[in-house]
Amino acid sequence: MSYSRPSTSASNEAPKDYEVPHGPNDSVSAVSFSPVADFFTVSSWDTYVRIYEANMSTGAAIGKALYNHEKPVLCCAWSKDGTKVISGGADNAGRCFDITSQQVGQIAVHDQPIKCIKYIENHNLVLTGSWDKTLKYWDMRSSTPVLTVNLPERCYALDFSYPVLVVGCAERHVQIFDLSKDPRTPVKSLISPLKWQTRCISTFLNRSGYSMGNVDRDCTGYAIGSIEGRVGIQYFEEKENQSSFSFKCHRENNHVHAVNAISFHPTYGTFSTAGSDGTFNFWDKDSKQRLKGFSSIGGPITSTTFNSNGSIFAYALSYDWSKGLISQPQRTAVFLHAVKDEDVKPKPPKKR
Amino acid sequence: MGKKKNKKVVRPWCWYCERDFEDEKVLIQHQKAKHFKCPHCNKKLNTAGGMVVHVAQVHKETIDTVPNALKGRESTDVEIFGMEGIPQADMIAHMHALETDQPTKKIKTEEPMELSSEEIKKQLAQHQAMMQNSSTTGQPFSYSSYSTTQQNMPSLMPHQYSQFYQRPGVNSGQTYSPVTPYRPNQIPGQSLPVIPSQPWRPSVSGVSQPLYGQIQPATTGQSAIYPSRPANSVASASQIYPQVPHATVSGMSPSGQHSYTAYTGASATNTTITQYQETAPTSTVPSVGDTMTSNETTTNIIQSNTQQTAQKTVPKVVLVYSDNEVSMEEKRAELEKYRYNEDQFRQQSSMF
Repeated sequence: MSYSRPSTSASNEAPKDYEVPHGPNDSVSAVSFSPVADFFTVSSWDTYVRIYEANMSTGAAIGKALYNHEKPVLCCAWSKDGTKVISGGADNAGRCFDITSQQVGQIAVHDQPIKCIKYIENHNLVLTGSWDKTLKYWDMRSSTPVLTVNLPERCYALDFSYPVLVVGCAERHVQIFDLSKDPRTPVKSLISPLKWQTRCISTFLNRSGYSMGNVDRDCTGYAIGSIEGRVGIQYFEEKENQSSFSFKCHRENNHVHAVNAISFHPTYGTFSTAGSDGTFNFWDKDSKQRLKGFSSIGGPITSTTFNSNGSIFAYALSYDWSKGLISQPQRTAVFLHAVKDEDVKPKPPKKR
Repeated sequence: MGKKKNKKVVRPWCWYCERDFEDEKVLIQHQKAKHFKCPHCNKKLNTAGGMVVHVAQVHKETIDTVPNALKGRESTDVEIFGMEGIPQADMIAHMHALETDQPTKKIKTEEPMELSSEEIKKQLAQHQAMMQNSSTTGQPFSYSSYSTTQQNMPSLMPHQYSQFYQRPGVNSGQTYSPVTPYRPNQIPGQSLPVIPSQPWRPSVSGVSQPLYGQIQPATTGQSAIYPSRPANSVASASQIYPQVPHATVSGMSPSGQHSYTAYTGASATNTTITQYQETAPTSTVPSVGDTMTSNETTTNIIQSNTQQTAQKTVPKVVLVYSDNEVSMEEKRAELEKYRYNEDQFRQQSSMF
């Protein structure tokens, strides 16, 4: 039922990855790849959003632009066409940076910091989730939200694969919306299958949703990570050969670390988890196996992302506050990991 | 001193079938093989609750009896793991059986070291003296003896707790005990002489009965829990007691209070998908209810014993970040350096 534990497996190797130069000066809150090009953004607690270009031929990354919030930036995302960067921060504001005109504008406002931001291309709207217990939809030209949705608790994590939106809140609330029908009321309100605070959520598609020229793209479930080193794989509809389960990860000896990030591979549908323990792993949920594990990079990994074709895995090493305020300075760096095909390719299930 | 000498008296024994074993490891093996084995696929689970959940989830069937158990001990609701969770009454009964039946023979053959028959006789004499004493005074269930035995319980609880819940962080000073909110000792200026130090358990004496509802008006669920307790009725306490977690749940439900009560309640109501139902708090609580027949010596032995084994078998799991109510980012954002100034915010939003 469970995956093999990282600590017991011998396949851990130290990642030797490229460090992005001129990284942020404070912890990274999010990394996000453009859906159309190898540009990526890094949002940081130092109030800046930095935009880099990853050059595939030279294997280097160069800074392209940066803009700032008044206070730490907690999230960032790209528009579908890759022309705009959106970000939300502790200044309760959502901002939009236009790549072509290099202009920054405010697009959203909440009563509390904005923890999550997404661009919903089907409606050309920006979705923001905040600790003020609301979701708001913005059309970027108006200063008032198109729609405000009340949540049962503070928004901690959200992800969507149109039309399904999954929002993870404090107190383990999980709300599932169908954006094509009614974005106002959740189709399902439930309590997280994990017993501890929700840390990250990532939706996934059905198997064929990841193949090329996919017609049948159904969001079939979501992965949810908690502060107690555990990931739940939840299907919306339980079927014969795929039912929800959870597994432990990011634990070393008796220390249990938070699962900080879950990213699904855009073409294989396998996924990564990264934790406060400074390790990241690739998993296959269908065969319930760990595909690849890496040893700790020496500090928490706060955010991860794949690029649009899944050849680059970007991850941020920075302090995640899991031990509260600590005196010694923590290293902050963003790494680009060249993804090996065999590390992320789904494997046939193990015989038992 | 007495504790140390006596701790070897009790051999680990199985509550389900009254067999005793060389050490607790063997006992646990026995329980897994005999009582916690799934009848459908022979998977060995850790607890009866675990088996119930497993059978329900994997085989979609319900199971309500523990296989190979004695009559009256087939309940799957009692959480037994090794020596943990054995109802006090049964524990004492077992002790009695040991002491009265063939104490010397049994212990000589099976526990040849360290314990002389003299000591056992002495202990027996002590025990009998106490029993006699209490019966001559006509107060077999006197409050004084009751309270002294109870006083030892809090030290036992955390171990029991972590044992059953396998939940890290509990040992690190956090009180997640569902009973915590009801401690009568919190009442200022209220003297409860009968139960000087049992913070985890409401008083059983009629003296304190009218207090409930008066002094804790903040949580309305409270008065419902203790609606009208018959004075001086000891048995009623153990009847009422098991209801506590449920009452907590109904007390908190839709309003989403952020109190501890709310949280513990929520964790107790893991509904459909969760795989951890074996941890439902209800089961451990009632077992504490009926200790009145005991004398102090016996309970001490039991406790030192269970405590010891608990320490041995429970790997101390530590959550690196264990605050289930507030996320790391929220805490971090509270820091002066990162905090957003409200005035600034108003200015800005008016401009916007």
